Amino acid sequence: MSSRGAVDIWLIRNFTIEPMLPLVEREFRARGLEPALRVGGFSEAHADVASLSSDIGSASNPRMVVLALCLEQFSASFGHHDWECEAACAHVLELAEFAVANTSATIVLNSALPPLAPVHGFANVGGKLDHMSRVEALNLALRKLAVANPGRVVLLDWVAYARELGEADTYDRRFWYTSGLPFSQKFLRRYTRDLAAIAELMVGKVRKCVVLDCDNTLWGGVIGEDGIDGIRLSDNSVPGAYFREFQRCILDLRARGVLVALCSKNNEGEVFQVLDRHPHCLIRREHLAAWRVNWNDKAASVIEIASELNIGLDSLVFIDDSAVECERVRDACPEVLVLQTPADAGRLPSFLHEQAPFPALAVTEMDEKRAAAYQEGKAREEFKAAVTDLNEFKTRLGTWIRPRRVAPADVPRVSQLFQRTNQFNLNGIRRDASAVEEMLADEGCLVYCADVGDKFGDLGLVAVGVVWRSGDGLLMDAFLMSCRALGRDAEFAFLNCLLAEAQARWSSAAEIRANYLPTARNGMIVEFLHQAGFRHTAGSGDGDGGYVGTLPELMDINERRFVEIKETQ
Amino acid sequence: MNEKLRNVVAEVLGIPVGQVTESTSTDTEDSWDSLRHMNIIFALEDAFGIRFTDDEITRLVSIAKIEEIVAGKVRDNPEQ
Repeated sequence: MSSRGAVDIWLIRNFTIEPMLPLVEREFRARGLEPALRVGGFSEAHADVASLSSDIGSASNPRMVVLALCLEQFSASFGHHDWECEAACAHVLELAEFAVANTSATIVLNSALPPLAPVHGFANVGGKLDHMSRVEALNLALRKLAVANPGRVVLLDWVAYARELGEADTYDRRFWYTSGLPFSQKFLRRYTRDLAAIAELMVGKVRKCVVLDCDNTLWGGVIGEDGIDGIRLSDNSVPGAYFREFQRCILDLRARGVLVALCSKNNEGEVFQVLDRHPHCLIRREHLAAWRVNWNDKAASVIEIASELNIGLDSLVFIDDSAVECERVRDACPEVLVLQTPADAGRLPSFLHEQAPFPALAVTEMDEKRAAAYQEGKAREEFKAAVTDLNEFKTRLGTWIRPRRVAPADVPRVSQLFQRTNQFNLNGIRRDASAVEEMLADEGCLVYCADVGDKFGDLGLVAVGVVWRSGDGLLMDAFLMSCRALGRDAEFAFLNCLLAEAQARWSSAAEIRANYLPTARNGMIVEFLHQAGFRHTAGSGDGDGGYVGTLPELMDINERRFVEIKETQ
Repeated sequence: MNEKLRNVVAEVLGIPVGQVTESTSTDTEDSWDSLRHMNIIFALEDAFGIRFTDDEITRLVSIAKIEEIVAGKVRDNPEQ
């Protein structure tokens, strides 16, 4: 069993990347990742890409192939009048396309840096596209390759790094011509940071919620002292406009599925006066998934917010202007990513772009609906509080599930669930998009999923189960459900549908074994396995035997009358 | 300063710091190849907040030389 955090990385490159390797080791280890690095030959990018079809790395770890290819190294005349730009661009694109077609691993590409200035000045020569345009065309083609393979092919934007750093800090000419390394340490560090962020997502470390302070974070000044007319928040004057722009950045995050919560030491009424009534406040009450506006310790409030939203502390990003509050939360909850806002409010609009605390490999339709789904969750909780009898609650909630085999269109969302689900998860094994596709292609494997909903709304695709034919019996190798969907018997109904489908497919199999593995967070799955009728067995030889059950018996136990089973349209 | 410097070099070369002496050079250490030379340069620049010139880079081939050049640069830029 691989440890959580292990990633196999194959670096295919056409420049001297060795000085980046210590940076990779350091950055990855600082994030709890264990990189197993393999570096391709200096002038063997073509041969290395050609060999990609064979197996790489140990099959149990997430696999990342990094194509670190730069135009600067394809020819000494890069950017000059005699540069064969078209051929160099075609070569890079060819390598990228071959890699995408021939390995199932996650592939990380990069945009190419164009020369700083066109060789002919302002002139167009011979009616032909100049070098700059050809590099732009290459970058667009690479972008399209990434877009066509969501969640599996990632394009890191070197051009954006160069804009951030400026030309002087992008290149280091001292080693370019003599040692084959055009790039500065700053540039390589920036690149490394993004590689580490991708690896974190691949091993399932996903940040889900931003927890925001209010005074001097969402607006300038202190609401309790300055009042609603005195705080700085404006659409046309500074510094109020900086805070408004920062709020826009927060809403950008919300639009792609990040939950927004407030943690402020204030009187709740005063804060909501701003959210409900201030003409330039963009973040409104309905955008919030949770809030703690009171005078309690912020670390305690942060823990309460995580608990209310049913997510781990390691899913939170805490943002505050106060060094004291940041230190307090960092100290009490080291799992939380703590960011202190810059003292200069003018830097707020670019602050989140620089910190990039919420990287994403794929944004699915589910992400766009998630914030609204949490809103429905609040209505559901209030309904639950009003209906005291649990069975009556379940009946009146009108829970339904729509089970079905996973289709190719579901793959991004299914692999995202594998990466995001920590608590109700049979074994915590992460499966990326290519791993899911491999299971779909396997005759001996049933990959099943379900949408779940109720009278308050449709939660979308929130449950996944995988059953393999194994000898005479069956092996349940994955069973997971988003925590938002728990507590209304949908998990039992989904298990039953999964078992029924497996029985229909492999009628001779009667026994099913659940491949349970303990992780730091999946304690609740053990209770579920017992309730669902699985028996714990001692292992033969060196390990835990896991949980087993027989099909007719399990299907009897997991029949759920409160949950409606809908047909797939 | 020299202790910090020798630690940096030892870490890049992957040898115990006790093995790094004034006479350690590209001739005495097999692991001090051209790639590690680059890594030593970058690690020293990072550790001391300095930047070597092309001329210095070609001369940084022994601990004695490194100590001399780094000391000169740190003295010239006391705010670093």
